[in-house]
Amino acid sequence: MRPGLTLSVGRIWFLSQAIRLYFKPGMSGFAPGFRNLLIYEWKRFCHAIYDPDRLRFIHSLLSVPTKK
Amino acid sequence: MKRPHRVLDFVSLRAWLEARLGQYDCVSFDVFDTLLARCIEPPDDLQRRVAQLLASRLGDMSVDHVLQCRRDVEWELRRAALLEGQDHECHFDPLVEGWVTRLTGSPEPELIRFVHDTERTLETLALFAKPGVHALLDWLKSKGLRVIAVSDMYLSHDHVMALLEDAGLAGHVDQAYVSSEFGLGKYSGRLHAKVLELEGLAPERVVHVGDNLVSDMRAPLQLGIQGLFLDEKHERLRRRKQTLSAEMARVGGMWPGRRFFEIVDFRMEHDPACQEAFEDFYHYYGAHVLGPAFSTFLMGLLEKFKDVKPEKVFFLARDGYLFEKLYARWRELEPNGMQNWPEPVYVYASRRVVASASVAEGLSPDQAQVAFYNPKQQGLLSVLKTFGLPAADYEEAAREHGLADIAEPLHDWRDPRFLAFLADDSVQTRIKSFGEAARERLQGYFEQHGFFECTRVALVDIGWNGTIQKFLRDSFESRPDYPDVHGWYFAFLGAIHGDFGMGDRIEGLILDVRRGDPYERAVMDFEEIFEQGARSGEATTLGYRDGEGGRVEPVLKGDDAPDRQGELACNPMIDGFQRGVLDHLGHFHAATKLTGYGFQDIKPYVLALLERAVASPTQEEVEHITRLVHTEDFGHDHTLSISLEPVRYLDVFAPRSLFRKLRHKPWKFAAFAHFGWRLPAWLFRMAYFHLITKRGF
Repeated sequence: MRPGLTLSVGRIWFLSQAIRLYFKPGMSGFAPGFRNLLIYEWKRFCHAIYDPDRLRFIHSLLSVPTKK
Repeated sequence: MKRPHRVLDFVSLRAWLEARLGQYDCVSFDVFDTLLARCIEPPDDLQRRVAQLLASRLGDMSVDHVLQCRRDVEWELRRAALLEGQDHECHFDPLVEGWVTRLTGSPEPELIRFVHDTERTLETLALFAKPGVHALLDWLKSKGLRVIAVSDMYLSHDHVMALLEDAGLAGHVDQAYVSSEFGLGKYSGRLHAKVLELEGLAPERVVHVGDNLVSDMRAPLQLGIQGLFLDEKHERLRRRKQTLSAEMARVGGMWPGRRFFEIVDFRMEHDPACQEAFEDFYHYYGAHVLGPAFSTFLMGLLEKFKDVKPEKVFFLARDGYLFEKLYARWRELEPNGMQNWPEPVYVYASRRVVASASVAEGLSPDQAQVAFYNPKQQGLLSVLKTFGLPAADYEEAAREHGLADIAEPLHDWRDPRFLAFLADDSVQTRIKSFGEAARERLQGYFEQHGFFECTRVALVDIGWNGTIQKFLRDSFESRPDYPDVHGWYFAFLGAIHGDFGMGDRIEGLILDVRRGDPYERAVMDFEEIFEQGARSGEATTLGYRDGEGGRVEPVLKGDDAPDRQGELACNPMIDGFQRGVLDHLGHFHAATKLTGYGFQDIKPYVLALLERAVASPTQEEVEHITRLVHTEDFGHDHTLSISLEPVRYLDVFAPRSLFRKLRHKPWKFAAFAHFGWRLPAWLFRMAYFHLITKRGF
């Protein structure tokens, strides 16, 4: 699988750790920040499991009377 | 009342319609997020971008104020529509007029046109026909069904039709109905009712498809129209993910860049020409690794041009070749934005020709030491080749000073035999005479390209040491008309001459070691790929000759040279890289227009992409890239093989042998790609940092 242009945030964090751990630079560079990583992944997870449009559709099926 | 239905994509929509062909005369579609997808989310960001551009045109207003004025005017128009008994719809024309009036005190026609044009341009850049839409609409037309588009949108009918046309759908849609033209919305059912009336259709003969449960399903169902919910979960997730990226981009750091390249990625995915070309690995690599790096470099370069305003920009052969192409392409993409920007000139000026000119006043040991930086150096022979001096003329003098074999590697440039050779007056006389002739031709070549007519010029190249800039300065600085020269390079290492006192007149935009930023260092851990990716297919410049009409012409290395043969074999791969980079630039430019991000916003993420590509390559990348050979055009005729043997787990028990195996390899991390998991490459990255800082690896 080709890595593409959009790297996962976890991977960027992992790549940045080698630099952070060795050089201890006083700048953030491309490190996403652990807190930002958690916020991003949590929200992404919520989007993946909670789909309000689909739930509303199911509600429509139940609430709209049908006619044969 | 009809029963709600949903379809998961356009293929299932076609299957659903195919089973009911005789039941309907007309298929009505929602437009935005149904027929057309946006590459940037949320859609409000486009309005913000229009406000940003308007604010920069007006000069003294904040973006927030300009945007707030738009919202206020929009709210008033919607309220007025409700009071008139219509739905809360507003039309773009009175909105823009009211907006401009609120900002400037009068409805200035030029500003109104600017807003219309800007919004139209940005929407066109952002919108694509979704995959499968063309085929479905073609099929519907072939079955004799009427196809209409119905949209809740503030844009005018003509504007929406123009957007459909730009997406290649205008010929597939018989008519479009837009809420802003009627003051009626789909959500209330009133627009659907109006469409039925205007089309003269019975509701049971119409099917409406859209992604909004209220506007596109519930409202039509209540009128007796069959509403179909287009339930594309992957599209909804993509939109939400992009909205989340937009939210995270406010944090700064690498986040704006990640959002930016998410947009570029989406655009490339929806470009069929790109998708076909990406089957070629080199094209793909050009678009996904070199493209972001070189396009971002160009963006930084353009910002420098705006600040410093050089009259001409000299792209130096050979590695400035691609940068000149990118600059020319950018000018095509932005014809109105470049009138005051510098005139590009591609000049054949290798390190070799400027080095030859720099010895017009003799060759000092300090100058000569540059030849010893190559691990494959051949002592005096390399020095002579570096400065273009004919070796045969100096063999006898070398023997007199104890250098019987002029190709003997010298590990210390202060070798007494070498210093004695340089101190010999007869040697220096010959060197000076050669250097003066070379300098005269170099001067003539640069004069004919208008170098000395300018007060300020820029040199653009891949960089590393800024050798050409240094030698040009050494050769011609004494001329009263020597211009103010700025060197802007992809990367600046300053390993040979430091910054030779140039300060901010020399800068590496992606990497500059003087910044001391370790996140930038991936570029210097595999310089060869960037040099190869940017270089011209032509051979290096060896010197100049007098051509027709008194013009000075470059003399290139012959194709029969062994290193040139290697280059020629690699040229098709380089061509693939560069086509990919140019494809990337088109989408990069669109993303720049849509987001308004600048060089510093996206650079951190580009550094992450480069860190991934250099330090954690895939097996496919290693297999293809190690086929390239790299040539040294500075006093050496060898080729440098990029390939290397993979590291095995057992090699860890023989660290000395592993050290020797990797030491002189240009791309050490390639040896870890075959492991299939990322930890070995990551651990080696840490070990590598230790070795380069403590042991000069």
